[in-house]
Formats: sequence, C-alpha cells, structure tokens
Amino acid sequence: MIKKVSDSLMRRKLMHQELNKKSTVFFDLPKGLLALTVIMISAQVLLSNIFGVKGAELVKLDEEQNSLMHEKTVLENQISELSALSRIEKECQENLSMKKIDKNVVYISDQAVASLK
Amino acid sequence: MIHSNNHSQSLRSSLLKYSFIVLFFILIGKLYFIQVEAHGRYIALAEKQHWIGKEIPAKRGEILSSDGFPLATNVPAYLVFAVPREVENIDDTASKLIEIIGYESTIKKEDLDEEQLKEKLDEEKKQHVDEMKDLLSQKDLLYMPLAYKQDESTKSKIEEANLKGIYFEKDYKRSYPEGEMASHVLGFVGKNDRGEDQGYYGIEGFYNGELKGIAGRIALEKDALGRPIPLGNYLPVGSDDGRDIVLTINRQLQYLIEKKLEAGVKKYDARDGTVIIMDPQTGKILAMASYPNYNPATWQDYLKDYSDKKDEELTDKEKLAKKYGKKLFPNLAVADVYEPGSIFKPITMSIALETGKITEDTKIESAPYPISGYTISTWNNKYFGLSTPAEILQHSDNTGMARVSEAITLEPFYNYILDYGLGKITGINLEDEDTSWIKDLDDWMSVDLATAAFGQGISVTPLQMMQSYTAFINNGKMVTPYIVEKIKTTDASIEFTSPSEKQVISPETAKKIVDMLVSVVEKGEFKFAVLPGYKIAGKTGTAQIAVNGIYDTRQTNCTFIGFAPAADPEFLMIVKLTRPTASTYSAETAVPLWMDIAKDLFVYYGVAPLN
Repeated sequence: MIKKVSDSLMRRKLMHQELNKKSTVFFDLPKGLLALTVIMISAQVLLSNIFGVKGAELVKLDEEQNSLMHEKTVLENQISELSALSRIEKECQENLSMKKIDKNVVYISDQAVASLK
Repeated sequence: MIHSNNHSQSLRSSLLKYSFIVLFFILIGKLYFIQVEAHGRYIALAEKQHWIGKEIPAKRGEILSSDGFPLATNVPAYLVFAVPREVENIDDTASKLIEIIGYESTIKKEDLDEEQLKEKLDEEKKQHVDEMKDLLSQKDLLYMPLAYKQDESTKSKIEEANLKGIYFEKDYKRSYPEGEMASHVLGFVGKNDRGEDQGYYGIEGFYNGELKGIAGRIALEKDALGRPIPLGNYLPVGSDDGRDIVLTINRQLQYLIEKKLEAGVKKYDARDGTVIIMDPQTGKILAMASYPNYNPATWQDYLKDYSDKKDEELTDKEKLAKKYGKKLFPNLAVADVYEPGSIFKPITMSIALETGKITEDTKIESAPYPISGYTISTWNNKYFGLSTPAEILQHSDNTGMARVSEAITLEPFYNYILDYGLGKITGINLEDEDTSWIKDLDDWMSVDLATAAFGQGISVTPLQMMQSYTAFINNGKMVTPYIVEKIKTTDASIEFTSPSEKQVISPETAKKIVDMLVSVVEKGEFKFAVLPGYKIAGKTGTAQIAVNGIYDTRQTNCTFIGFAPAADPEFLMIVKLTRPTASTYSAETAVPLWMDIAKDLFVYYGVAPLN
C-alpha cells in the first residue's frame, strides 16, 4: 500500500516537473524570437537608411561627374576652336600685325649654309 | 415562437455563410484577373514605380587629323521636350519658347514697306507660336520633343523663364573646329528617317557605323522616396561611344592647299578645283581639298533657296549656296569623273614601252593622223616630224600618241588600263567615291583607241590618276590610296596601311617614264613656270569638255600632276581646275597653281634647291 502511494507521488512529481519544463519552453521561445525579430528589423532599418543615404550620395556624385564631363567637353571644344589654324592666322594678322611674306622662301641645305660661312 | 426565432437565426446564418462564399469567389476571381489576365499590365505598373530609367546617349566618335587635332568633335547640346499634361499656361509657354528658341524667317523683305514687313513678321511669329501651342496641347502624350540640338545658353534662358512641364535631355551636337577645312573629306551629320543622327558624305558617311556608337540605358531600383537602392536590382546597358577615327590628313598641308586652291579658283575664274597631295610610297593621302567648299556644321544653310535674291545682297556663303546648292557636298577628288586629257599620255607610253612596241629611242611621226574619217591634230597645230617618246610627251603631241596606241593595239591597251585601276574605284574610305564605266572590249572602235591614248573618250577621277602615277614612282608597283590611319576602339586601335600593292609595269619602264616626265617639266611648253633648282616630274592635261556631244574649245578641264624631288619624291600632287576662263590652258592655270603650292611644300619638307 505504502509502495503504491509513493509510486503515485513519484509519478505526480515527475508529471509536475514535465509540465514545468514544458511551460519554460513555451514561455522562453517567443521572447528569443521577439528579440531576434527586433534586432533584425532594427538592422534592416539601419541598413536601409545607410543604403538610402549612400544611394543619394551616389546619385549626387554621378550628377557631379556628368557635370564635370560636360564642362570638360565644352572646354576641349573651346580649345579646339581657339587653336584652329584659320583663327591663329587671323589673330596673328589682326593682333600681332604679322603679314604674309611676298618673297619666295626656300629651304637651304646644311652644306649650302656651311659654304656661305 | 422559439421555433420561429431558431428559423430566422438559421436563415441569417446561411445568408452570411453564402455571402462569404460568394465574396470568396469574387476575391478568387479578382486575384485570377490580377495575377493572370492583367499580369503584364500590373508588372509594367510595378516596374514603373520601382525603377528609375535613364538613357545614356552615346558620344559620336571624333575625326582627328594625323597630329591628333579634332577635325570633327562634339559639343554638348540639349533636346528640349515637354510633358504636356504638366504645362500650366500653354499660350505663355509657347510664346516664351518661340522667343527664346527662335525660328528661321522666310519673309522676303524686298517690295515690302516697313508696316507691311512688320505685319508679315508678326503673322509669321504667330504661326510659329500656334504650332508650338499645338505641340503643347497634346495632353495625352507624356513626351513631346520641341527643339533639337539647343546650346547651353538657350537652355539657361529657358530655365530662367521657369516654364512648367519643359525639360531637357542631354545630347551632343557635331562641331568642326576648323570650319570649312577638309569639309569634303569629313562630310557632315544630319538626321535620317527615324530622326537619328546619320553621317553623309566623306568619312562621316563611310564610317557612320563606327562613329555613331550605341546609346545605353540604365535602370535602378528605387525606394519609396524615389532614391536608388544600391543593392537593389541594377540593369545597366552601358552606352558604347563611337570610335575615334584618325586620318592621314596633315592639318598644315590641308590648310595650305585650301588657301592656295581658293585663291587659284578665283584667280583663274574656274568653276571649281581640286588638289590632292599623296605620299607616293605608301599611298597615304596627306591633303585633299576641293573648292568651293562648305561648313559641315551649317550644311543646311547651303540648301536654302536664294534664287530671288540679288548677288549684292548675299554673303559669300549665300552666293555659294545660290550657285552650287547640294552640288557643294560631293568630294570632287573622288566623285568628279572627267576626261583627263594629256595627263593620261604617260600611261599609254608606259604600256607601249612595257609591251616592247617602242623603246625610248623609237622615232614616232608627229603629223596629222587620219582615222575613220577624222583627223587627229595637235593642240596648237604644230608638228615636229620624227620625235622620240620623250619629245612626244614634251610637246604633248596627240598625233604621236595616236600612232603609239596603234602600235600597242587594242587588247593589250585595254588590259593594261584595267590593270592601272581604271573602271573601278580605288577603294579609298570615302562615301562618295565614283568611277567611270569602261565599255567592253568588243565595243571599242579604232578611233576610241586613238583618242584614249591621249586621254579623251575615257573618264577617270583625280584620285585614280594619282594612283596610276604611283606605279612610275614605286618601280612599277601601284599602291592603293588610303585616308584613314587608324580607328581607335576603347582598349586598342586598328591600324591601317596601304591595303595592296600591284606590279603594273616593270621597274625599267617606270624609270624611263620618270625620266620622260622630268624632261616634260624641264623642256616642255610650260618650262618658264617651273620652280628653278628643283627636279620635278609631271605632266599637264588640258581636256576639252564635251557640250551636247561636241568638244568645246573654250571649256576645258586643266590638270597638272607631278611629283618631286623626282629621284626620291616627298610628295605626289594633282591640281585640277574645271572650266577656267582666265586661260583655257593648263600651262597657264594648273601649272602655276601647282608650282605655288610646291614652293611651300619644299620649305615644309626641307628640300633645298639643287643650285
């Protein structure tokens, strides 16, 4: 009889322990998930924000690059126009009072120059 | 009573249940419609919300001279476009845009007093404003192009006007820093049927595929605020800029010949003129010019109608446009097929020497030559009895040449002129190259052979003649002329050299012809025009032009082709003047112009006179 009672108590104790164990798992798991979710959402928000800012910076830099390329093309074009031979000739005549030579110009060979000396 | 309540509750419950079932099926149906039937539309809408699309225009390749100077380049320009539904005040926007962008007036001012003129101008402006209003009123369109290739200042003015719904798209406009220089070599850029940039004539036309490049497009995923997401999907289709083309053209020489040619055409009152300078050993074209020329940047201006205006009212450019119109555009150096006249004689002489029909000592009779009911005479009706081949060339004797051709006979003559490249294009990389058609051997008559011997009855281009003469300089090997030095790709460049060499005559024959051509310059009819101290080899050609089937002695093509120094030439040059009126003879027109240019070339190349 005593043995039966003690067996029954033991069983109850074990059942209670089992129940306690189950309830620990039941209550601990959502907390971990919740924390993980919060961390992930925060990271997502943070990263999105960082990427968003970087994206805007990239767009700005891209625009700056385009604008500089544009300026470069304009300047290159101006250089080409200013160094055009017709313009150089015109500038020489108008601003430096240079004139075309009327007389014939001939190349003299080194030997001819040497013989002159 | 209890039974009745239960029944009512059951009915309501059933109604609710069936309502949910119906709603469920409606929901399923709607989902089916969205996900299956209207899938494409919603994908497109979603993509529009999630993606930023941007076109990247391809920059047209530059055309550079041999020293790397851009002869054709690009300058930023803008396409002005409207989003019509965003335009707030159409009347105001249209009139401001017309004010800033402007338009070409077609009002003829003569015969109008001040009041009438003002009225007409107002009317014209109103018409342009109305056209602009029509474009801006098309509210169902998202994009309406208004004006192409507008410059920076026009863009700034439009921006300052603060017009709602008006935007700009970056583009490029072709620019030619040297203006008219080498216009015939370069060609120009216009629009094709699809409204795309398209090269016409010259290098722009021939290499349009390489120069134009491929426009790209970039698509970035965007966030709710419209900012691009760097780690989002990214769909770039990069633009492929056009390739740069480096020409063999020497900018200084090109400038020199253009100035001299313009002066020459005006001095001798010719209809037009052409000069080509070639490196005879390689076939490299160093300079190529035709006059009258045009500015490729404003090519449209030459197509306007100036017929009702007097010459005094026109600028030089307008006068050219009125006189020549679209005839200004072809490159005469490669497109002008003409009867070469006496510059062809050395070719005939080389065939006779090569086939062994004559030697340099053979005596050929110089006397009127009757054939098929005609009599061939000399240009000045002077005859010299028995003459050597050199003397025949010195006197530019048609009768002697006719006898030489008789000795050659038709078939060898025909085969050799084909070997010299007549009847087919040289293959130079210019869009407008043309050639003459050489009739079949069976269709030649004896008189054809006799006249072809002195360059009448057959046609060539100035460049074909240049190519033929390279055989004399290169020990009988004829080189192919070329004008493109290299094509630059993004990571390398494709270099060009003369594509082929062809042995046409033996080195011995070539040397004999060079000696004869030196004697032509030293002892010929134009010896007084020759630069003293230099060994020049060359030949004149004065070919009468056939008008209505009859050769007109007052209308001639005057050509001089020559090279110097004769022993080891630095350059081979041809000068051709069409219908000069100051004199109809080459000796008095093309030769002085050739010598005038050669004088500067000797200084440029550092060639000292012999004495």
